[in-house]
Amino acid sequence: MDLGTILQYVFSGITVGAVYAMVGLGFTMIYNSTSIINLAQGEFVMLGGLIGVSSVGLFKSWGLPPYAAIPMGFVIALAGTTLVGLLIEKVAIEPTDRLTIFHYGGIAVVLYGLARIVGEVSVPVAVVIAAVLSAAAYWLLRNTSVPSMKNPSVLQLVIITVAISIVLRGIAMFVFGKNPYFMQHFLGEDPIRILGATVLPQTVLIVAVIIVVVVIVGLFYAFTMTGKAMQACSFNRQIAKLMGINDRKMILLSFGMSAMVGAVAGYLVTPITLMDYDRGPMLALKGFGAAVLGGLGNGYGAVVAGFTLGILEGLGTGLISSGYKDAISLIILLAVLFYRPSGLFGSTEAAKLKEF
Amino acid sequence: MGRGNIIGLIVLAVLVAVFPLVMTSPYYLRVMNFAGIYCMICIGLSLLLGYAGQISIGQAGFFAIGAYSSGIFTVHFGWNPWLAMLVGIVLNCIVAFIVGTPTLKLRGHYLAMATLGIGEIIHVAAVADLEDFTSLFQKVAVWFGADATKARAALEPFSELTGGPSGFAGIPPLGIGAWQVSEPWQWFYLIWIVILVAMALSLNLIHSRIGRALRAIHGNEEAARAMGINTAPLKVRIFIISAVAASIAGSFYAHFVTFISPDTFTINDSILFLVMVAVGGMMNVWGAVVGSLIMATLPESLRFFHDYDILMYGLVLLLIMMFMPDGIVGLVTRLRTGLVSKLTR
Repeated sequence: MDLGTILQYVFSGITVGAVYAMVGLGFTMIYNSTSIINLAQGEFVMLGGLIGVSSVGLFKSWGLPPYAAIPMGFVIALAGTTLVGLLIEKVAIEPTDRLTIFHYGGIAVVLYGLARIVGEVSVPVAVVIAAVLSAAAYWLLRNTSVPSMKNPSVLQLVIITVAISIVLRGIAMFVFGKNPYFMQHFLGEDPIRILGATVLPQTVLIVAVIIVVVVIVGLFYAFTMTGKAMQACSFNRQIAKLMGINDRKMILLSFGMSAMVGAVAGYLVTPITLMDYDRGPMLALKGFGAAVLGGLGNGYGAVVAGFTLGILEGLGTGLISSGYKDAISLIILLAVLFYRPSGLFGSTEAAKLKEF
Repeated sequence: MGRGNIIGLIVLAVLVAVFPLVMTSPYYLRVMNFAGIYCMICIGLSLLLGYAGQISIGQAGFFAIGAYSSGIFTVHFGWNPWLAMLVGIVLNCIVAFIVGTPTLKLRGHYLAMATLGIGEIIHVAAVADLEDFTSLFQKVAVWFGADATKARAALEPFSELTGGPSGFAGIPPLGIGAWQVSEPWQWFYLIWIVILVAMALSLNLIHSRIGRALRAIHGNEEAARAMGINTAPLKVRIFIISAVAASIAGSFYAHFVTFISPDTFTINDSILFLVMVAVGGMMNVWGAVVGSLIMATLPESLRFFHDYDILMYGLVLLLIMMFMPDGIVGLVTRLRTGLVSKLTR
C-alpha cells in the first residue's frame, strides 16, 4: 500500500469529515444555548443543498452565467435555511417555554386558513370558526398544558426536534421530490495532483470555506457583544437573564446561526455527494458523534472531531471494507467515550455540571 | 401494586379478551400484533427511561439480537423455537451486561450517543456480508497450518447465517407440540397475554424496594448513593431487563413475520421506541402501552391523508410533545386530579 493510495483515502475522508464538522458545530451552537441536541440538524444541511440546487437551476434558466448563479444560489440557500431555523424555534421550541399573544394569533390565522381552504366556508364564517376555536385552544392550553410546560425536560425538547426533522423531511419530499439532485462543481472538475493522490478543487474549496466559517464563528463569540451574551447564556441562563440578557433572543439566534452553518455545508458538498430529501438523519448521527467526541459544547472540538471521524471513515472504507465504515468510526467513538466520558476536548468538571 | 393499577390490568385483560371477537379482520389483528410487539420493547424501555432515568437509543439492537437468534437457530440448526428464544434472551443478557457496565457510567447525551452507537454496530453486523468474516477466519486457519479447502468447508455454513442486507425467510411458527400459533388471532392472544404478564411484573417491580431505589436514581444519582443505594449494578440490572424485553419481542417478531432483514432494526426504530414511550408518558409504565398503541396505529389512521401521511405523523408527534410534555397518560392523570380538586373544593 503506497502513500498515494492512503492519501487518497484521507482526502475522501476530509470531504465527508468537513460535513460532519459543520453539523457538529451546528449541534454545539444550539446545545450551548439550550442543552438541546437538535436532531433536525441534518435537515438543515439537506435544505441548504436542495434550496441551493433549485435556485441555481432557476437562475441558470434565466440565462445567468454560472459565476453569477452559484454565489446567488449560495445566498438564497443560506437565507432560506436560516429562515427555516428561526421559524422552527418560534413555532416549536418557544411555545414549550412561554406562549405569547403571537402564538395564539398564529393559531387563529392557521385555523382561519384551514377553514377557508379545507372547509371552503365564507369569510365571516371562517372568522367565527377561527375565533371560537382559538379561544377554545387558549382555554385548553391555559388549563391543561401551560402549568406543566414551564421548564421543559431536555428529552421532551430532543423528541420535538425528532418530530421537526420528520416534518421537514416530509415537506422537502413534496417540494423537491425523491430523486437526488446534481450540481456542477464550482471550480471545475480537473483534479489537483498531490503526492500521487488526486483532490477535487471542490474539496479544497470546502475545507477553505469551513476554516473561514469556524474563524468567523470564533471571532463572533469572542469579540461581539451578542456573541458574549450567547456565551453567558450557555454558562448559566438564569444568571444571564438577571444580567439583562434576553435569553429567548439568544436561543432564537442560535437556531438561526446553526441552520446557516448547516446550509453552508449542504450547499458546498452537493456537487460531490449529490443531495436528496432523506440525507438528514445519517448526517445528524455522525455530526452528533463529532460533537460528543469533541466534548459537547466545545465548537473547535466538534470541528476537529468531525474531520477525525471523516478521515477514519475514509481509511476504514479503503483499507478494510465499505460495509464496516460506520461500525469502525462508532467503535472508536465508543472507545474514546469509555476512556474519557467527557469527550476528547471536553472538561470533566463542565460535563458534571450539565443538567443532562 | 395499588388499586388503580390492578383495575387497569383487569380492564386491559378484558379488552384483550374481547378485541379479537369484535374485530375479526385479520388486517386489524396484524396491526395490533405489531403494536403489541413494540409494546413489549416499550415496557422495558419505560422501566429504564422513566424509572431509572437512563436513556437508550439502542433498543433496536437488542430487538435484532432476539429476532436473529430465533431465526438462525430455528432455520439453520432446526432447534425448538422456545429454546432458540431462550438462547436469544441469554445472549441479550450477556451483551447488555458487557455493554451496560461501561456505558451506564456515562450520563445524559453521552449515554445517548453510546447506546446509539451500540445499536448501530449491531445493525452493521446484521447487514454485513459474513463472507468477509469467513474468509478472514479461513486465512487465520490457514496461517495456523490448517488445510485451506477443509477450513473453507468447515466455515461454509456460517457465511450465510444472517443473509446479509436482504435477510432471510422461512422462520417456522411458534408452537407447543402439534398445536401451532399461526392465525392472527392466536398471535394476538399470545402477544397480549405476554404483555399482561410483563405489565404485572413491571408494576410489581416498580412498587418494590428496587422500584423506589430506581426512582431515587432518576431524581439524583449522588443523593441516591448517599442514601445507601448501590446505583451501578442496579442500573445495569434494569438495562438487562429492558434488553430481555426487547429480545422476547424480537423472537415473537421473527416467528410472527417469518422473515427478518436488517431494515427492521435501524436507529430510526430505536428512536421510534423512544418516541412511543415519550408520547404515552415516561413517568408511568402504562404510558408504554398507550404510546405504542397510538404510534403503531397512527400510520394506519393517517392513510386517509394519502401521500401526506408522513407529514401528518410528524405534526401529530410535534403537537403531542409540545403540549403534553408528560405524555397522554400524564395528561389524563393531570386532568383527573384537576377535576377532583375542582369538585371537592
